[in-house]
Amino acid sequence: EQADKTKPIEITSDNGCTMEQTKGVSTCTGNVVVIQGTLRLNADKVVATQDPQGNQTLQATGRIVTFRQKLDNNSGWIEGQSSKLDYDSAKHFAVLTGNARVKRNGDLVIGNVITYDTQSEVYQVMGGGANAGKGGRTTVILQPKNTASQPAAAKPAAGAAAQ
Amino acid sequence: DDEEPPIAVPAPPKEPGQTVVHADDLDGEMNVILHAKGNVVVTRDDQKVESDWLDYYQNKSRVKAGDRFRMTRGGDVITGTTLDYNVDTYSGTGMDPVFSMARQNQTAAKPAPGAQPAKPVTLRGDGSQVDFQGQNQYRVYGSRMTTCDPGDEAWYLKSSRTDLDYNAGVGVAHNAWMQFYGVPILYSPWLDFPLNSNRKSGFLMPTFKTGSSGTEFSLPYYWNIAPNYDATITPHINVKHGNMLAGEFRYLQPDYSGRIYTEQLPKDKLTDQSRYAWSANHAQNLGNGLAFGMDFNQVSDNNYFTDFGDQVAIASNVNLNREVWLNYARAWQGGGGNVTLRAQRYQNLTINPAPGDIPYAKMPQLTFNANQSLPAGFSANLISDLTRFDHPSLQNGERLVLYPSVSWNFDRSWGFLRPKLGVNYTHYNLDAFGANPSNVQTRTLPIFSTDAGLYFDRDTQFLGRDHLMTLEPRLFYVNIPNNKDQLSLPQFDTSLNDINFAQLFTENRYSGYDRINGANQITTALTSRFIDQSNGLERLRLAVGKRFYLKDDVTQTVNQPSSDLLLSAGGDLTREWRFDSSYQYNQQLGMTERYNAQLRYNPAAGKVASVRYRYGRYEQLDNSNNFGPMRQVDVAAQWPIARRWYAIGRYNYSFIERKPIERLAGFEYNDGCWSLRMYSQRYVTDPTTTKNAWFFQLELKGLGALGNNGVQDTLRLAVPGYTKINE
Amino acid sequence: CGFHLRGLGGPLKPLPFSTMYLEASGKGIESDLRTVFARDPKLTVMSAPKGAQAVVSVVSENQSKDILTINTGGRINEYQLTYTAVVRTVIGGVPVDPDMVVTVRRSLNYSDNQVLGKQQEEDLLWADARRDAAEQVVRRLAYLKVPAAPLAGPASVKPDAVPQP
Repeated sequence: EQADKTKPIEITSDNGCTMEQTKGVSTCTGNVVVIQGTLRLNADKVVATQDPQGNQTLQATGRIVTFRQKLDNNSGWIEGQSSKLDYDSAKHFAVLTGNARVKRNGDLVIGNVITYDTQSEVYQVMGGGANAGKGGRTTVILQPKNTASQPAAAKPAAGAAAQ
Repeated sequence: DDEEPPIAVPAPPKEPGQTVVHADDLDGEMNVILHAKGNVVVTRDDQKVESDWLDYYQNKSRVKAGDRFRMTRGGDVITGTTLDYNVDTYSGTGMDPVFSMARQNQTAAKPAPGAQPAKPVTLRGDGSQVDFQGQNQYRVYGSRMTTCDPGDEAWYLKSSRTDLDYNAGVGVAHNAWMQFYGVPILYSPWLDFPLNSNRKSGFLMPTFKTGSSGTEFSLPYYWNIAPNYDATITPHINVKHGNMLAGEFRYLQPDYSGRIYTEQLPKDKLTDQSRYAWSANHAQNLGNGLAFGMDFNQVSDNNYFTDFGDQVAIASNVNLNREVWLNYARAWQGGGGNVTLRAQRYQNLTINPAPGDIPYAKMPQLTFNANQSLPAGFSANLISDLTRFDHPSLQNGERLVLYPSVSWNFDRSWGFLRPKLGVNYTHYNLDAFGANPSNVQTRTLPIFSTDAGLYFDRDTQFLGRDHLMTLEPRLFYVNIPNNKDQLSLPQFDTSLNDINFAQLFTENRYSGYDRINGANQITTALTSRFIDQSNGLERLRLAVGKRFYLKDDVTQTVNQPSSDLLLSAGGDLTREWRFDSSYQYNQQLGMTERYNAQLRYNPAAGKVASVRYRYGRYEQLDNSNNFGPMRQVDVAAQWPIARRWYAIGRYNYSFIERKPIERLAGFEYNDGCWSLRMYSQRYVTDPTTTKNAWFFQLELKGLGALGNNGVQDTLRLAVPGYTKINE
Repeated sequence: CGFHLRGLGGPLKPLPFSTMYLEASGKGIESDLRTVFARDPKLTVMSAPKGAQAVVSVVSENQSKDILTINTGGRINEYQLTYTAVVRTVIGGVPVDPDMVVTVRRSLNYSDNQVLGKQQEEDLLWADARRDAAEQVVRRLAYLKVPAAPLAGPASVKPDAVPQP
């Protein structure tokens, strides 16, 4: 949620964090868990920096980096996983790299690199060319819209059955 | 990362309505729009779209795909350049489509009675644009279609617009051109054809006929009114007689069904009169044993069939039946009965007929027949008939016939004995006719008959295999003490039966009730059968029979000591060979009365040859009652002459008049997705005129036949054992 | 000369069943079949398929009247009457394939000016053809290859299969 930015960041890790006050960079390693409001992130290593204006950027790496965050006006959750995650809170822009997956209310996006603007919800998925994982292919799985506004939803099911 | 990384975010389970998109690259806005680029594959239930790029507007469920797309829906595959399609409503548009529809039509309407299940046929082709109109409907603009296999460019149906409706199972082509190896052979403003459905089968294309009844061109339009009602309206353009409209309406309901057919020619160019034909039949089950039926046929004039009919129509339409009947049947313990009320009046088409040519009308006829089995093998039966007979120029009147009888049935495996005693009471109320006033006549005759027979068997060898040979002697004694000549009685429905084995074992040599022969006669017959011990099939049957008259029959002017001698031999000797023959020796004149012999060789479907020889000493030669000798040979064959080529031929020659009665020659070519049938026929319609007819039929696999549709019947009659080669 | 009265001198080919049910309602050949079946003392024809060892059903019968000879005046001289009956037999719940097809032919001398009389003569020939066909059906039933008894497994537990006509 947008409100998360105003929340304090709480980071816990096995091997603790080292801080470099001058550049405002702190690096934590070993089962790092970052919590900020509804955002929860797990990774092996997290490097968080904060510039003088208070904009935070975050880079999480590890065998598998996962994150989960609630969406605005309770329209469900967003969660994702990748080998590397870069997040810039000022630009509210996240880049997941390496076996990246983002799931939003049942809709799932899979690719080699996924970029996602948490505000405009615009995303981009790169296959990464033939030699990348899964032959450089990307996938999107969209759940049937079963909200009331979609009268047609019932029809395809019927349609499907009558194939 | 060679081994699989852990999956923390699993894919959702598969469910109906779920859309899965694979691509090289993707971008978009969640729940709003999705752009996929590079080898895009979208699947949703039974629909799949593959393309170079694809945009999916999620809230409108609309898909746009481009540069090249390939859509699969059930059995149908459509490729093209650009696609704009709504995944929910199954509707949209595709440009420059190339399609192949191989779907089975699950919603085929009730098949026409007797139609076999539809054979799946793939309809392929291309067009400028295809509109998807729901799950089972397409509309293809500027389309070109065929059912030939890919690579086989034999024929194409080109049309400005074609609607394919797999729900109704009908395709309709507008402004349609049929192209056969590139040559346009036919144009029609609209053509409808079946899509795997069993409805009125056959591609209702224009048909083309030529011959002595003039050149004719007809364009049928099939109207599929409702699942069990359909109509076919066919305008005929006949060069010689003018334009005619034919219409057929069929209805099929659980309790009743029927057909109404008419041909209307307002003004015949030759005779300047209106000419028409009507044929309506209806059958209805009114429940608990009651049934109603009607068979009505009428034509405008006696020459109708000679001008418009084919050989079969001309030969068999001399008396048109017009009949209505109501029938009640009931079975009970050990017996049953039925009552029929019928009105029947034939339309006779003989040119200036003699009084005898016109059959009596039954206005009406009431019959009541019943039988009841009694203890100790006895059974009682009753035949009764009350009829009012009308005739334009002969004696009219009513006739009541009551014929109760009792018979005893002794049936064993080695033989049978069936004595029967009955009394035939006949009562006439005759109208005034000519000199004599109206009067009453009655006739009462006791009838006694006994049928007896034995069965003897023995094992034997025949055609190299074990057979059971039977020997079945049979006697039939009839005694009817009748000393009145019955000349004072009219002849409403009576005629002298021709002698055959069935007739030898009946009490009366006349059919109908106006004449009952005086009889003290005994019929003797001997039948021998050869029964194949492996399957019980009767391979050969030989029979000889003769009737001996112990007393003269007062109804006969000339009496003989015995009837003609009858011989017959025939059977399915082997699976391929069939042989039939019969011989009748005229006792009175001491010479042969009739004989015929037929041999048929039918090794496989589409391979049959038969020869038949018929001789008659004194046969009816035409309808004007002149008789004379008849000696005919009839050779017919359907035989493959080369790969895919079949020849058909028939030659029916009369030795007496030394002229052919029918000649038919032609060929059939079958090339997978089309077959061609072409032949010519010359046949006799009366002693002085011969007519010829050309038959041309191009059949397109799965769509039906172009050309006149009467082809199959003509061939089936001309060549016994004929089978359609592309069946 | 080796002939013996059927059923007395030598063995009579028995039917492969001793109780049967005949399903031929509404078919012309029904009464003829019942007459021929009645000749066999060792056979009982049941009034219901339940408990009958075999069910014999007349699947279809067809009467087609085709032109056989035309005289030089173009008029019909002879019709060929072809009666065909298709009979399906189920013994012990197992159908015997293929169905039995019996075809009987008669020829009818015809002339148009005796149409009423010829109609009755035609009915006489159809009745004769049906009697002939009935005898052939019963005779060929005796030669049927009885299907192997249903397997001892669950199949045999199946209730007495009543075929749908």
